[in-house]
Amino acid sequence: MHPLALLAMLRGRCRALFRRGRMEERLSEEIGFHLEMETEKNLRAGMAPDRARREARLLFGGVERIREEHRDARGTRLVEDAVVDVRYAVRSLARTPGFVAVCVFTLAVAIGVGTSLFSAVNGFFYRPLPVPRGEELVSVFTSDYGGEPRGGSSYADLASFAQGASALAELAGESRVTAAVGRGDDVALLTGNLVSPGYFATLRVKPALGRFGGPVRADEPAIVLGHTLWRRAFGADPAMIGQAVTVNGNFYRVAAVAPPEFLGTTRDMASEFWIDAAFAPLLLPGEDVLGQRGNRRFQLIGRLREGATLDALRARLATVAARLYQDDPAVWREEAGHGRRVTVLRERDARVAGIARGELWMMMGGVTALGLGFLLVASANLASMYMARAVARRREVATRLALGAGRGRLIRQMLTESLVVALPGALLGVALASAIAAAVARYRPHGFPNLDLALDLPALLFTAGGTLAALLVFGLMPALQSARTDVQSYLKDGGYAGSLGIRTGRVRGGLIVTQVALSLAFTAGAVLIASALARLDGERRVDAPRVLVAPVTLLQAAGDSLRAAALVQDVIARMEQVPGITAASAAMMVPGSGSRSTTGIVPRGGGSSGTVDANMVRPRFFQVVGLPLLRGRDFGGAPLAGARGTRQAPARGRGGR
Amino acid sequence: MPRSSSADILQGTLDLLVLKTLALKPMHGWGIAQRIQEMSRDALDVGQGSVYPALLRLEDRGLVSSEWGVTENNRRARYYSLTTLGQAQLQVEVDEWRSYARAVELILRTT
Repeated sequence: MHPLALLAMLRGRCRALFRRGRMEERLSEEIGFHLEMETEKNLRAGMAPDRARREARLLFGGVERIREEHRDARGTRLVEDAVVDVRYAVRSLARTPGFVAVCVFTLAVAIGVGTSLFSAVNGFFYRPLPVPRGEELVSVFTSDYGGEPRGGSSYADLASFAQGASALAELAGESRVTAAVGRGDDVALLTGNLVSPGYFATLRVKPALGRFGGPVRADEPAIVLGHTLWRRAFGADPAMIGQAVTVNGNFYRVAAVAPPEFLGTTRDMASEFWIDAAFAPLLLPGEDVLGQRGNRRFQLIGRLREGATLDALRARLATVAARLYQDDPAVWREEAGHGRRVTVLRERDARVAGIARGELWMMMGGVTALGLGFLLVASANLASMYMARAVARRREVATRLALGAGRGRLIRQMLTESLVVALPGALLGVALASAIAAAVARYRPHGFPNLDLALDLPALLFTAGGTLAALLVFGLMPALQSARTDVQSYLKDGGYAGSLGIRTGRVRGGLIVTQVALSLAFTAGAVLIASALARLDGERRVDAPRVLVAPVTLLQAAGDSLRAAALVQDVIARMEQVPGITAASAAMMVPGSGSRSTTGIVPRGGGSSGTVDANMVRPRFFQVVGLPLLRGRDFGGAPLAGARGTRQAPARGRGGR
Repeated sequence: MPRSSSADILQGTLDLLVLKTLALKPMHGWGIAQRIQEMSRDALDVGQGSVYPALLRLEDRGLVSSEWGVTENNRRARYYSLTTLGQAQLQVEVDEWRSYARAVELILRTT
């Protein structure tokens, strides 16, 4: 089309749409003028006035038909019809407020839950951290022979890397610690991070209160409180800044409160507090956090400087690492293929780097299927309600068809009715999703993963897509169904028999079967998930019914390992004296409690090495948890009746590499 | 008066006839209808009203513009005139019509 013509057309359409009334008026005036002229001409030809007028009209053609044609020519027919449809839909739905309320509510719940699920997956795997320009962040991992492929780094390594790569990136580190934090006697065991001095500056996180990175004074330890902790334990008191809280029995001054959205840089666990690594000796006595190169407890995160590339950073860090390997070969052991190395990934890629592709797809697919399935159940539900309504409206539909309404037009009108319900449903669903997000942010329980469900563009797109899909199911199906109403037989049979009933019956039957099947699948899925979660819960996992678990946390501030061992020994001895307890033992980890530790093994005399799960236990552990020994004897104890020896070959490969 | 099948064929070419009529001078709807009737010696019978949707279609395509004017008898009427684009398009459509008519004529003559 000629560009000028296109312009004229667009202008015409807009004018036509916005001046609908004026266009109609113009046509009326033109028709009036035309008929007058024609009548006059006929009069001049000698006709009687009546006849002259009639002939003029006859020659003109049907005025209403011309009006319709004129409307069509305006090219705004669709919009004008839609306006009429929406008005009609609102009027007809207003007569059944209960129906509308149920539909809107059903859809809102489905969309709200679906959107939240989507946000969870999206936030966990793909959304950048909620810090300014989070997409610039990179994760740096180091590893030596036998360690995790993407392991932490020592504080001294961090310093070397940060210095060596300072032209390309800012680097910072965090190290997860567990400490008893609170005021007076009111303390709780919380997860937080030891962080390098440049941590908040690198992440560009601005405090909600107080300030980050003030001068570190050895005699005045400082702590940054997480927003959730501040609200939960300290009543969101702004006067907390500068006040003292206890951390493992020592006083720390509150330097700042982190913003609500910032929960640390790892996704699996939310941080509740941050302490400068300078205070590591106070927080973790007996552990050389700052000086020992082999102590890889820091996760490194960095921000690429403008213009710097990931590859350049990789090359630079490799150079620095080569020097470190040379200086300290004992810490950086090497074996061909899987020895010492530095891995640099975008932070977002690093989150999923450890997960096998298949597993990742399973997880994503599972959650997506759950969300979509939920929406499908709701849509099927709505579809059967709409079908029921359509059956009740057979008379209306048949009458309109008989009066000459086009089936396409009828379908469009019924779709409009669904849309009128779907829109508020979707809006309410989005509101629900954002309420869920707000509730999670506000009442985040301790131990809840670092998940933010905040709505963003992809989530809204998901919602829009979901609504559209739902609309197709519950809007189009009944509409197509009722547009097939056989007018003849319906009107002839007085509206009670007719083929419509049979046909809708079959579709409705199908819908009900689908609904029941999906609901059953969901119930089963929910039960499975619930029992899986229950199993992950350590205290219930050891499901020998007579086994009790008493979690004891030894804070590192409590003293050296000899004292700790003595304490554990003492606890076991006292427990054994409790009437009703037949045996007591201790283990570093309760089997299946969700946490585990792995260790590398190298067969003497060569052969392939691997990683296995490992645990540290006291004597009688196997007896207590009911694990039979295949051969040999328990540590330090008497040989067990029937069973001798260590447990059979370690479960190969379970630790992964 | 029943509408013959020739009227259906005409429907598509009505736009062309309107363009051709307007090429002489700006005119109002009634004038255009009269003109078409006269020129075809009443052989073409479309409802005169059909001229109005056609005019709007042409205006939409930018081939025709319109404004209110006054007739010789001092009556208010909407006058339509050909735009530059319309003049060019008229030539194109006349040529197309001629070659089409020639083709049909050829077929009719040979069979």
